[in-house]
Amino acid sequence: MNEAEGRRWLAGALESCSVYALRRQGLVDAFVGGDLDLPLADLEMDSLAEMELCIAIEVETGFTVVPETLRDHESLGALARLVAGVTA
Amino acid sequence: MWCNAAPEIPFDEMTFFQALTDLARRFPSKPAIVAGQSLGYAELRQQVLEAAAGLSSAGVNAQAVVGISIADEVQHLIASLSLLILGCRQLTLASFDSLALRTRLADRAGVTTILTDDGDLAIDNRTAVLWPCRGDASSLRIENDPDRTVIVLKTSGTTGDLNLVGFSGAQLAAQARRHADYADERLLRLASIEHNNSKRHRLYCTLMGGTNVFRHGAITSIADLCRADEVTCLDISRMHAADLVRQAAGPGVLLGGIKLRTGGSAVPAELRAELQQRVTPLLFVRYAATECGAIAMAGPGEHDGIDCVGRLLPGVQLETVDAAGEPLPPGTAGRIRLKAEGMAEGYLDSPADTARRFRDGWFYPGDMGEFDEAGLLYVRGREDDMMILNGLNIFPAEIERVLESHPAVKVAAALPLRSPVHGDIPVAAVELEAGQQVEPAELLQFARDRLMLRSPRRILVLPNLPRTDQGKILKRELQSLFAPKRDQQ
Repeated sequence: MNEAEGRRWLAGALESCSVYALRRQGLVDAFVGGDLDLPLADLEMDSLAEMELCIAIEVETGFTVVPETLRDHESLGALARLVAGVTA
Repeated sequence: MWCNAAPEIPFDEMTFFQALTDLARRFPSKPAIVAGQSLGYAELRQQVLEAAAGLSSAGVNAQAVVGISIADEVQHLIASLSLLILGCRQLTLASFDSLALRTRLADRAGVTTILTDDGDLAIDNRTAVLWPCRGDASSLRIENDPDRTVIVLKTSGTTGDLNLVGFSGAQLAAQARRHADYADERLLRLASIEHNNSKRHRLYCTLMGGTNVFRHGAITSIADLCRADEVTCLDISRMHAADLVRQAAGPGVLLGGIKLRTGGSAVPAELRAELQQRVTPLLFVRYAATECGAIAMAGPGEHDGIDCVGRLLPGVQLETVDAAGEPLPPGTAGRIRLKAEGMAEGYLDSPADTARRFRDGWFYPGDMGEFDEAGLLYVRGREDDMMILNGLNIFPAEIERVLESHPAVKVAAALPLRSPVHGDIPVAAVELEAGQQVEPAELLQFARDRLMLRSPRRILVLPNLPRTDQGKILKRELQSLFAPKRDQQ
């Protein structure tokens, strides 16, 4: 998986975790296309959504992520690189 | 009604031979076996005696441990009855199993003799006796000890290997009493007698004086066979259930008036509803375990509720208990434990599993369940299969039921991915109905809408789910398909 694929997968995973901030702001295509990045904080994830995203990343990649380490990533793009890097 | 006269001595004090003799005396011409042609109880008794005499002449005696490899169902039943009256221990070494598996089972059970109608099924270093055998029954020695172990059955172990469990004639008779209704039935089972459960029900049916109907070459349609041989009770597995619904595609009810019974793997509620609408309204759902026989049965109208297996059968005591072994009130799911007449006391060569499953006189089948206020039992799933995701208890069955309610899904299997952080992450694999297509994403959303946090986090669509030869889904094999992409590279 390259970074673009990582972004596409992450955009889908956010929807699955009921995190709609990207779609609500009309930013899905820009993020998937690599033209935009945004801080994780802007996604306004609650603790349940964070947990679900951690589970989704673990199922996809086998890489264990907890909410605390999730927040260590400065942006959604960085998280996409993590996903892509692990599965590359 | 054939069995309206009482036997001379109480049924539970009879040996197999006494029971067969009693039936032959009371109902000499009643069909005991129907397979195209009919065999009455008097003729069956005579054939069994002559076969036992032939086996005895071939050196088979009460000390022998006999592996039966006979695919022909009628011949297998007669051979089995012959061995029972000789009092030797028997174990089916199914003709469809590999030589390696048959040899391993024979080693574990201490099989000394292979009884087969096919010389290719012999096993090295064991005496092979070719079936059929016939001899002079006048000097035959009948074994009269009802407490001697005479049947060994296979059952799933907890480590992936099979366990062996032995039963005496008295234990089989006690189990058979829970099927007293067989006395007036003409029973057809679609699974071969070489399968554990079919064999024991064929024996129960014989003991109760019923009629065992077998498939025979001339008729291939189940509906035609049921009509031609006047079947009153048809026993099917989950695989057969789906096939029967497909066969009932035309107008009307396929097998109206026939009792349809299912056991083993649960038949999903939607499929049960289809069976009742299109095959027969007389659908019964049975809960049973190899270690004790039938436990409970739900009749028409009782199993409409999800997971309901009905009321306990006579001779069965069952509780649901918490982790400390304390009985739970109705409406609270817990670990099932039970005592039943004819129950085994342990496994033949698995002390660890015996210690785990048989404790203080109770048998722990490894299922979770609960009663409702009306005394109906609901089996929620396997204790071993229960998933705990971040403290949330999730049973595979609830995921499977939801996925199987999707019109494109034929069958689903849910299982856990083990996570060091989250516990068990539920995932699922599905097999689709013929001609159907659906994307995993659609199924994920479908499940999420209905199960929310209990929904599977990944779904695979497979051409076929891996199964045992009895149709049970092999979840261990599925597990490897869910390896994260990192592990697949």
